[in-house]
Amino acid sequence: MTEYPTIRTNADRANLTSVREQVLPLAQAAGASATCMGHLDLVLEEAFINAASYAYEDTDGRIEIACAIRDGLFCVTLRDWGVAYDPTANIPTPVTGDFGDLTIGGVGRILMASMTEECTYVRKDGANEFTLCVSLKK
Amino acid sequence: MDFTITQNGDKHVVAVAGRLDAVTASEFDAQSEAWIADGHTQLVLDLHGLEYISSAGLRSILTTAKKLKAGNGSIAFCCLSGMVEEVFSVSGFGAMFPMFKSLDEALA
Repeated sequence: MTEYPTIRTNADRANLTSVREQVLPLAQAAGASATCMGHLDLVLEEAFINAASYAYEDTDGRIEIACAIRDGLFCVTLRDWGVAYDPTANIPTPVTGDFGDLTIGGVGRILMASMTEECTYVRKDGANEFTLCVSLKK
Repeated sequence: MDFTITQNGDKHVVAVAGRLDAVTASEFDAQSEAWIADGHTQLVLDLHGLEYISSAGLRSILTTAKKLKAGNGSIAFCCLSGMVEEVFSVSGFGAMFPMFKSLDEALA
């Protein structure tokens, strides 16, 4: 198992680009396929934007991002100390029907569930820990 | 994100290139509001140059589609591939909107 230094940032949506620029090169250097890179890019955005938008009432809250490689998977764990929220609970089904009646809520969670090999949540020591693992060779 | 616009009859064809994500979605929103404000209500989005889309991008597309529908307009998509095609398929958007393999088919 390979573990990388934890990335620490404020819960600010504007920090997404910085987070991407720190995480994606780790997977690239580990030999991730193009498909893996695309999936990792997307699930990282969805998870970070969710945490940055909803965990805290302002942008001063902390988010930690820990990356690791195990069993051919590149795993990202996002940790925040905001309101308890399980992104893996009650994942909606893909949208259907007339788009005029559609709201977008939940689509990000559908995408994360589809593009990961593992997607787990725990509430631990007052923190949300959300781990997303993508196959490096997919 | 880059936009290349051509008018084909009553169809306003916009080739979107780059990334449509939480960072760039506001740029797309501003552009689409301008298209609609200018009276372009028959929209075809050519996504062959779009490399990446997230739920934030889908939200922008949905917002645009709803505005067009409210004004009796329409939206169609063509030329999706790779990760963008996968996101449309997995989310269900690919089954909800007119989708075409080529621009010629979208304009037919």
